[in-house]
Amino acid sequence: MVPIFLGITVLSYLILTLTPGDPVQMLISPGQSAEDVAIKRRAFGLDQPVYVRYVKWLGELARGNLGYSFSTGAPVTKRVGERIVPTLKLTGAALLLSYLIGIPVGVLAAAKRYSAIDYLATVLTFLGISLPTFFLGLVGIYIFALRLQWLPVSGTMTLGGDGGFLDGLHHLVLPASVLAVAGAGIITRYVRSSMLEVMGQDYVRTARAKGLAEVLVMRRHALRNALIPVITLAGLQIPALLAGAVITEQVFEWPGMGRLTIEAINQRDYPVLMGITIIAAVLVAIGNLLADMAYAVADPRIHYE
Amino acid sequence: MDCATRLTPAFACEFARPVKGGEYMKGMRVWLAAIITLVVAALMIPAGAVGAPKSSLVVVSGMWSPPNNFSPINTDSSYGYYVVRFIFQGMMEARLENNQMRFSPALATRWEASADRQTFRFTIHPRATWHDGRPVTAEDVEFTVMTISDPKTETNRGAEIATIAGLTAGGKRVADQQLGFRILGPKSFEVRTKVPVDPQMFFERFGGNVYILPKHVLGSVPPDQLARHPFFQNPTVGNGPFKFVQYKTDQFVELVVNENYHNGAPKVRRVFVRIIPPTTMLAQLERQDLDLSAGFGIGEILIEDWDRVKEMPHVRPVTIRAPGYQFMVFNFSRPYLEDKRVRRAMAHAINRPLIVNQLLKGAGEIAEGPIPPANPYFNAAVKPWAYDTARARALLQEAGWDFNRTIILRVPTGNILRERTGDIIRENLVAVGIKVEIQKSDFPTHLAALTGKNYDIGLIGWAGPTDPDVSSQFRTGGQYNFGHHSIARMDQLLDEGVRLSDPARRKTIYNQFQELFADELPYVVLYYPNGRTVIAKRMSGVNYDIFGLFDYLTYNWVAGPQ
Amino acid sequence: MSDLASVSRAVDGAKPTRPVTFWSLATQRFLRHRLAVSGLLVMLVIAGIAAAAIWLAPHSPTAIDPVAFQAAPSATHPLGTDSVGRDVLSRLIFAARVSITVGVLAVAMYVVIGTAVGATAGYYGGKMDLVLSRIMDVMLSFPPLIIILFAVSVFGRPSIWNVILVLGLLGWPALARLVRGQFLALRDLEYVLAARANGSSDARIVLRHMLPNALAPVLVAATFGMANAILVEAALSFLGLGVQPPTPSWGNMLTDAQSLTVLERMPWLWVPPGFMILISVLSINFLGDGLRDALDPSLRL
Repeated sequence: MVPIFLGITVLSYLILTLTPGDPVQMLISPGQSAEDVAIKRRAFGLDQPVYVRYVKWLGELARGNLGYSFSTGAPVTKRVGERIVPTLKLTGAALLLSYLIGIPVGVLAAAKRYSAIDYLATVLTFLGISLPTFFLGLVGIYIFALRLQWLPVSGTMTLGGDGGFLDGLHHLVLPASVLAVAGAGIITRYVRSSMLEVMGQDYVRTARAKGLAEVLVMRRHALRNALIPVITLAGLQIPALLAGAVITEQVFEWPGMGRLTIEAINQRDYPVLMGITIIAAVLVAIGNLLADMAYAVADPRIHYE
Repeated sequence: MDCATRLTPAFACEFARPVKGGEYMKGMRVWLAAIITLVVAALMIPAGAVGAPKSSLVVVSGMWSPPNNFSPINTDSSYGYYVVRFIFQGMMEARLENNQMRFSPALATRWEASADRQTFRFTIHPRATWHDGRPVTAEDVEFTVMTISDPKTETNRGAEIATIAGLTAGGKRVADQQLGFRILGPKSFEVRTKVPVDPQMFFERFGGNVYILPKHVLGSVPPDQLARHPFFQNPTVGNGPFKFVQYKTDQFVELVVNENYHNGAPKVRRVFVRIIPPTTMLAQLERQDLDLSAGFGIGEILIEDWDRVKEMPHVRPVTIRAPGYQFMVFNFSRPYLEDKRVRRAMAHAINRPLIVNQLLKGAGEIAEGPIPPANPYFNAAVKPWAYDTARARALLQEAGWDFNRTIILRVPTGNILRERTGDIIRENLVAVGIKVEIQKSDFPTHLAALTGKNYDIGLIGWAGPTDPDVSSQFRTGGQYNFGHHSIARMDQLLDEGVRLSDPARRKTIYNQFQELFADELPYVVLYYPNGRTVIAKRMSGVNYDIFGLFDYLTYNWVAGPQ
Repeated sequence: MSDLASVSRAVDGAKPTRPVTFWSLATQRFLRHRLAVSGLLVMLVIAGIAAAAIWLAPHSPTAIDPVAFQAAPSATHPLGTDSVGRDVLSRLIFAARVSITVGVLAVAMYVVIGTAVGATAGYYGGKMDLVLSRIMDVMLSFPPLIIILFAVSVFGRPSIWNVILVLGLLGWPALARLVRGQFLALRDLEYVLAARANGSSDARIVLRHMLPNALAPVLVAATFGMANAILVEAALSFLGLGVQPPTPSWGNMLTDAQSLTVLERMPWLWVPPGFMILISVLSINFLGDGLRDALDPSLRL
């Protein structure tokens, strides 16, 4: 674990240093004096060599301090931390939605292979994964927010309130759906091919030969084993949950990690970028652990070393 | 599905028949139906039930990007200051209107310059108070000046106070020197400058751009920790017409009226400054969820959407003659760009009228200098070079240009119109025989390349204060002299312009400067784009100025019914 | 004698049967997949258009028509002009080149890197596998945007290479994992053990015995990867990090149309590139799907 984290931090720091662009220059207002600029540079520690800065940062990290954002002056933990919940809301809802749609449609398509339903499902899922997200988002806004006015244009809540659960949900529908479209397509294909593969296995044939009812065959034997690779897929998607959905967040003004990363990149806000990297790495590690556990539960053939 | 040849195993063939597994499929179908119902139900929640408050006492303003923080002395210059100006004020509000500098009282009721133009006296309004009830005093002003000039404070206001005695050219205190600030009474003070200065310039900079900090809240914070103090994320103690309520990250800032505002409590009770990307601003306007766009450079309408906005019955489109411009800078460290005939050739080659008429749809102006046409110091006698490809080619040949040479045009991403301008410029230059390769990069990389002299020609924009002193850009060694040029006569004129304090004499100097500029062409100024903003028709009393920002005299706003 | 002759003639005269190999069976199965075949045909047509761009396009893709900015389709400009007065049809055709080049080269890059790393990790196992797997994990948990930033800003040269680099750097860990999994499974097969016992060099074993059998899923992944590359290019263009104008790509043509007004009133700006993206991604996806069904392991003889 630790070597991976160290590796990640060193790589990040290296990348940030090698990338052209000066954070202080990004914060200068026209007419600002050269002395003010120099003071800022010193305050950011940018007048010191790279390895000194890295070691200092590491030391602070050991004490639980991620430093202060260059552009806002707020603590990095706060700036990154307040993005985690909205990000999880968005990507979590999208993931849930894509599985809710993908699993049943996939099973249907597998059971009725090469029928009209299968072809329809195929075309729809392929459409879903073939259109760029920002385009879908824009079209979604146009149809649902502008023409039909069923949904709000963007944002997480109505102005002025904490909104409440219903309001939050209302704002979540469009962005989560747009995100879920591609996901649902992939899940459907995955479930379909997994089901097909399992249905061709010996133990299913045996169960059927035993005279078990079709429903039981499906549910107990086929479905459970077909879902193993699907769970693996879910596990692989957990890191993506926290990278945030950059494009969707930009289009819908969603205050997530993806949007923060873009802002921080544009401002070359090194402390925030390092903070995002390390927090993302930690959460990814946790996510992978959970996925491995879920995998072990679902498939008793696998034992965890 | 090859059941006949048995290449597909038998049981799979059986699966294909819809009869088998029908029951199970029914289950799936039910689940699918349930999901669809749920989704449709969610969509059905009527917009009105959870819609935005549309009251005559609430105003919504929209800007493109979130503010960094709310520090009156250290926020990024545009988005942050837009919000700061609702909450904090300086002595007066200084704006250019109709070619004239106008000052409206903010915290001060009286301000005067001495005859020798070195002493300036201010009187603070007797009823000016902080949002927590304490009075705004001269001590607060002194504290603000001391803080800005402290060598340990991170700030960007140094240049605004730099003329005060006892400070360096960058606005920092010099060790043994006396600061030119004297408290005369609880509500009055006097400032002394190093040398006589143009009062208009002084009032604009010190009076208009220095926002006062509360000494009783921040007095005990060490200067080097000030930039990170949580107060600047949550500025609950201000002195302006509106009070800070909350900032929902990346979503909106909520402001509420300051009932005790000394120039009269605003009639608008609540202001939301909403962060809206340019693409969706149109949608918000159509749904009447937006009353104002923030203004030039920070909250405008996309040029594609402009015609549509003009058709909307409930908003008034406002075109601002903007003070900012886009230009092409030459890297003077490249010897082949030193001959001014080459630069003149490029100015003739670039089809600026096409850019303004077609790309900007006519919403812009062309001028051959860095002083905006709407500025009182603008020299109308200096005409821009005409679009003339024949002349361009002739000049290039005269100057001995090597037509096999490829030059690099650097274009920063982020400003779509500027990117498109880059494409047009390339075509124009290629048409007269200059080989050009475009290199695009994000803004920080671009800036680093310019300062690192790593380019031939580059595009960038600028919007400066109304005072015509442009030394930082055009003087040898100037901080923003991106082209690294050095023209002796220009240095002379610029120094003279700063030294003089008589506006009439300054005008002569700056006229000469603009003539020289058009001749030497350290930049080719491409265009002055107009700002495209909107004000909802239900609003009145909205003041804006040459900067096109609507955060000026905000306590005058009146919002009628929807 | 004559009986033998007539028998042998009868035998010799019989029609020779085709040898039934894995690949010929897979090809047959593929050809039966109607969608996949049409996908392949469409891609070939697009590739043909891309190759013949210079002859097919009516105008230069960068030439500006000074009187027609954002003009609707007309006789001179069959698909209208874009926001800088350039002919949409010509840009569309030249953009095919860019999108296909990016797709092919990016996928080639990460397939080569991923296979090399994954094969090494899977074959040698032990410490080598541990180290390489850790590196893969690091790359997979890294926020992709930071890698994109690096790749995009380091190069001062034409940005088509930036996009290829980005896709290559982001794509290889997933493929390496796949190949590693394959190799781990193949390693213990009998013929590999036999080859080892024989004293064959590692390189020979990997290249001759194991790689061909691991190839099928890699091929499928590569095909889907190409479709993904086209979409990622579009997404990068939206963020301003993709192929930059004046070089046309379907992604940057589509993002030119980022206002609701353009969406509603100037369909010629976004429908052509959007349609091309849709068609090519769909075709490649169908192709990949067909490949996957065709290479189904349950057919292996």
